Amino acid sequence: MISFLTPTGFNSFSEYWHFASAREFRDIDQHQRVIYAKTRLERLGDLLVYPFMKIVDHAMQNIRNPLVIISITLTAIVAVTILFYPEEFMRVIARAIPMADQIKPWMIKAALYTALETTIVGIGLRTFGRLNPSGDLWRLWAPVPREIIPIVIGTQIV
Amino acid sequence: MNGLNYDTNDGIVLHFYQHAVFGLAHDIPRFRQGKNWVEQSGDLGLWMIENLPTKAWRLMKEPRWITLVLTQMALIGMTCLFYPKQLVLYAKIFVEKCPLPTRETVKFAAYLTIVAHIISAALRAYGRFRNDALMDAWYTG
Repeated sequence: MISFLTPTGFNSFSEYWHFASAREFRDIDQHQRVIYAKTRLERLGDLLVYPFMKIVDHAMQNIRNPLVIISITLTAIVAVTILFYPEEFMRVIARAIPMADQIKPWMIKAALYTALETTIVGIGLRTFGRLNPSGDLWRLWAPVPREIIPIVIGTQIV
Repeated sequence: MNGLNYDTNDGIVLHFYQHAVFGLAHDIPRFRQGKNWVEQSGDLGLWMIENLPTKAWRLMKEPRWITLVLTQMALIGMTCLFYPKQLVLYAKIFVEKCPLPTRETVKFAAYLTIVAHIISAALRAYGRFRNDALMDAWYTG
């Protein structure tokens, strides 16, 4: 249990990071998910990070599943291949899927860049929304001793 | 309580130091003596160097500020990773187009700021020295 807090509401950067990246919050006593009215910014941020968070959360929750391990491995191999041999990779893909020939490497780069930037903006907006002092979440988070805990992405609740 | 343990037998250097502490220190024991308007105006002029760093430090620890800075850093970092040449190009264009002050302007602004702070420090010291009750309390205990 946290006995004291700095005026900022966090004791360390790690705690701040857990708060910012939390998938959800749970009540310590009741062991239930905390339902609170999200601020507009948090909802917008949630929307932006949804695709990324959903995939990562699902993969992390099923990390012991062999299929998930295989798909993560394949994704990593493809990513490294694109990084080292983008043109050769596209040539091989184009042979298998003719339509893929129309996709240029800069398109993939731009798409990846846009996706990552959108996710970063989403995380920023969501965190900013969560930190709203008049928001419901902050009212639950700020009191000491704290009654809610952040649940990290990928955590399985049993 | 005697603020400086003032002794008339002390040397001139120590006396000068004690007067300087009394006149210029940010915070001194007040002995229930209030501030006159001269000292208050000196405080106002010195606010920037005495209180601004504390306020800035407090702001830097504000989680919402940290969130903004981290998000900006992540966005720029990602851009640097994906499009380093374009980032440098646009940064150069921004610096060229940005209306930066001339060297003379910066020099004059620095000069004005320093003079303003010297005057403020003098006002604070004068305000305290003309506060007879505070002087008596401070030097005689």
